[in-house]
Amino acid sequence: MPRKPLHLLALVLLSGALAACGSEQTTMYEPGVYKGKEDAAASEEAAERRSGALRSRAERGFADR
Amino acid sequence: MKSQAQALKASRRWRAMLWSLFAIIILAMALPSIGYLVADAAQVYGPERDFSEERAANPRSEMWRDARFGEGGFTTQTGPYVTNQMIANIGENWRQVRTGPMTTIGGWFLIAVLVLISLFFAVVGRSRIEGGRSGMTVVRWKGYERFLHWFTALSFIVLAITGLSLLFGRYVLIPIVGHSGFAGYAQAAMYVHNFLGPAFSVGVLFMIVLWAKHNIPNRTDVQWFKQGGGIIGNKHPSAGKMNGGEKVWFWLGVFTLGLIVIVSGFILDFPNWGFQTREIMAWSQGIHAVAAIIWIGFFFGHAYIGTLGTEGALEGMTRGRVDTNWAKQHHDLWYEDLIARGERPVPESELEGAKAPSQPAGQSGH
Amino acid sequence: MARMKFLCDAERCIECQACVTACKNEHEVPWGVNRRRVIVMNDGRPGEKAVSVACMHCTDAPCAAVCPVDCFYTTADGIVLHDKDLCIGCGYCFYACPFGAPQYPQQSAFGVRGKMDKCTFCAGGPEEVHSSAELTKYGTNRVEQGKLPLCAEMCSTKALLAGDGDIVADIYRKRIITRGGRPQTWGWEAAYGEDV
Repeated sequence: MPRKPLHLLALVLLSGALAACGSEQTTMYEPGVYKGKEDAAASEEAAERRSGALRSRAERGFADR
Repeated sequence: MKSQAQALKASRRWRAMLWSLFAIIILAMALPSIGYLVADAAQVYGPERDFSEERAANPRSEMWRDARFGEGGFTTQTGPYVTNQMIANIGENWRQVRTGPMTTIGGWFLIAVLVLISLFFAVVGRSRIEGGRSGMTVVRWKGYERFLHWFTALSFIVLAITGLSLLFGRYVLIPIVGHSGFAGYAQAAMYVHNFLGPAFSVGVLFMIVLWAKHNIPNRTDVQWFKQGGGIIGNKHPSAGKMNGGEKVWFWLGVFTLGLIVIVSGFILDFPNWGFQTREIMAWSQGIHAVAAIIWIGFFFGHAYIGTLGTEGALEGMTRGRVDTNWAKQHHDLWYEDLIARGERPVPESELEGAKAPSQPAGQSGH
Repeated sequence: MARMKFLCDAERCIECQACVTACKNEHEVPWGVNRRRVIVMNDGRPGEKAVSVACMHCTDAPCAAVCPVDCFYTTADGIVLHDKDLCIGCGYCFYACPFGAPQYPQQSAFGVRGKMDKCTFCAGGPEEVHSSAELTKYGTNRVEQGKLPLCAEMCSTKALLAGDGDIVADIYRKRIITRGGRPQTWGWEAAYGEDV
């Protein structure tokens, strides 16, 4: 048991801080899953990936046969 | 003798030259517009155009030009927000005003007013009661008038804060509290603004009706303005119940800006009335915001003079009673009239004795 | 990088309202909210023309500029989307939009409108792709599946074109060459600052 009151306070605060991790809103790490903010580069990559498919679809769909 | 005749001739030549120049300029402007006298405007601009009408120009290009200029068509879709207009041009103009001068000039205007008031306070300081307090007070504002004032004042402040948040929040608050934080606040601010606005309007309308009689301009006000309201020089100009400055605040602020803000605000607040097209809404929003910003700048001045700027002024609106020395200094004609009508100044001690007998007199003196 | 655009060929539009119906059905848009509408000019008169109008996904979108909560964003494909969680329903985007695209579920006293809803170019919204939250708030996400907006894809006369601006412009230019006449890229000047 800590003697000094300051240590006791620190212990209480630390345990409180640790308890905050138990919230359901806390983002937990999972390997291979991105949970960060909106990633501009990733969305650009996705747009690039599907742009070919969208182009060919427009050409097939709207051009007169 | 000869030289005098020459000088006369020269001056006549000058005058002739000036007059002919003047005539040339005026005629150059007037002569080309004579056409309007002969042909009326409809003939100049062509008859009311109709889509189906045969005309020399390509009818199809006419139609597309109409579409670009906001002409309406027919649509089967129904709903409160469905418009039959192909392209509305008001939106882009409104956007340019709102994101341009309204925010930049409006924001700097409010900051400039605050800076000027602080500078004035730092340089000139508080206007003290000459010769100190007399300890005798007279009634200035009745209970219902004070309630009306503070109800309107508090709702004005809340409306100003919420309204300014909606205009400037994107530039000022989003960088601080973030998008979701600000969106939550803005949602609440919008509803507070929309629901409090009509209540505030009632307060302003009551003020206009009840206080117009105190604010009728007269010759005393001219004198008051000539002496700069007592800011310049030592002598304080005469004034009735309301001085010239207060009358300007009433007619320009409460009456003119107030009515503009109320009418445009009601148009914006009640889209369910149904007559509001996007043109009307955009115009109302622009007028509402500009008038409100000017009013808020005006209000800064009113609030400063009423609280920090003038010793003994605020208590007229809080307690309803003012010191006789303050009354003689700032509203001498009103004070004389009050005394002539038989109002008796009451000493501070008597007032407190009557109100709270348990409290010793002079405890909460100023 | 593709830059998505809409183009309605007024010479081909027959005012069948199928695009409107398809949009409503695909995204389960509530009653009174119209993401797409057909406007007929010179209705019932010679030279009648119809144009299908929705959000044009402007390059410099006025709605995004006036939004007090800054809830609009442009995706990498050039699609203008908005976040309904941020939207406060102030109505400003509706005043600013040249095309009348933003819609609201309500129009009541004290400016109660609900969250704004508009055409998403069938690209969903800021929620997780194909999640139920995205479906209920913004409708289906066809672009993510490599498909184009349903209104254009099922247009029977191929009047409504949607897709990469270059390809749409190419197709339209070919049509003009074949059939003659002047191009009429309605709304492009206002939305994209350029014509075909």
